[in-house]
Amino acid sequence: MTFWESLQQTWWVVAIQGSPWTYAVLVVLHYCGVFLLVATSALVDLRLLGLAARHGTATRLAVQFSPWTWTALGLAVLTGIPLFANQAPSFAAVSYFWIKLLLMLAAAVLSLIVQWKVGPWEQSPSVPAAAKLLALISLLLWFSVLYASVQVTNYAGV
Amino acid sequence: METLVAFCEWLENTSWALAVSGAFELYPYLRLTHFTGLALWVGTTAVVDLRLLGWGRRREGADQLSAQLLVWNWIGLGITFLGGFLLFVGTASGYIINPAFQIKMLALLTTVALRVTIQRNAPVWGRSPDAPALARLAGGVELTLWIGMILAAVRIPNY
Repeated sequence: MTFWESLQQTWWVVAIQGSPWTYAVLVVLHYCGVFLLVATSALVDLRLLGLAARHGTATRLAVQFSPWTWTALGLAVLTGIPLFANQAPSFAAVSYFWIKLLLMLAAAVLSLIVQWKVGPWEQSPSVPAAAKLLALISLLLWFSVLYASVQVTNYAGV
Repeated sequence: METLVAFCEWLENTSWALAVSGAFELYPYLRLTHFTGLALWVGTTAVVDLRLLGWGRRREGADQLSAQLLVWNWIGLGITFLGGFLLFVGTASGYIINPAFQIKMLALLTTVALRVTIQRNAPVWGRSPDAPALARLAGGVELTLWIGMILAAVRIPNY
C-alpha cells in the first residue's frame, strides 16, 4: 500500500466516504473559499491595473478585503485537505494537482506582497509600472490556479 | 414543464449544441469559464453581503463597495452564464428534469432579483456604518441562497 492509499483509508477519510452529505458540504465550503479568495485578490489587482473600482483606491479595497482573502484561503485549504485525502491516490498521480499547489502558493505570496505594498505604490503620483506588472502576474496566477483545478478533476476523473 | 422539456430537446439537437456536446476536449475550458465567472460573481456579491451584515472590516461602506464592484459583479454573471449555458445545452433535457438543477435555477432567479434590489438600495442602506435590519436580512438571505445554490449544483450528478 502506498502512502496515498493508506491516507485514503484513515478513519476520518473513511467517515467522509460513508457520508455523501459531509462530502457535499466540504465541496461547497471549498468552492466558497476559492471564490472569495480569487475575487478579493483579483479585484485589488484589477484596481491597480485601473480596470475596476476607479472611484476609490486599491489601498482601501485591499484593507477592506484582506481579512476575507486570508479567511477564504484558510477555508479553501482546510476543506481541500479532506477532499484530497478522499481521492489521494488518483489526485497525487495527476501532475496538475502538484502544479495547482505550486501556483496557489505563488499566487498567495504575490497577493501578500500586493497587500503590503499597495499603500506606498498609491502614494506615488502614478502607480509604478513594476506594481502593475506584479498585479497582472498575480491575476494570471489566480486564473492558472482555476485552470489547474479544472484539469485536476478532469484527469483524476472525479 | 412539458413545453420546457420539448424546448430543451429542440435546443440540444440544434447543430451548434451538437457541436458543443461532441467536443469533449472543450469541456474543461467551459468549466474553467463557468468557475472564473463564479469566482468574480460570488466573490463580489459576498463581500457586499458580508458588509451589509456588519461582518469583517468597516473601511468601506456597503454603498461604496456595491458601487465599486457593480461592473465586475455583472461581468462575473455574464461569464458564468456563458460557460454554464454551453455546459447545459449538450444535455439540456436531462438537466431540466433534475430536481437539484431545478432548485439551482430557482435559487438563481431569486438571487438575481435580490442582487438588483440590493444594488438599487445600497446607496441608502450603506450610508450609515450599520445597515438597517431589512438590508441585513437581504444580505443574509442572499448569502444563504448562494450556499444553497452551490450545494444544489454539487448534488446534480446524484439525481
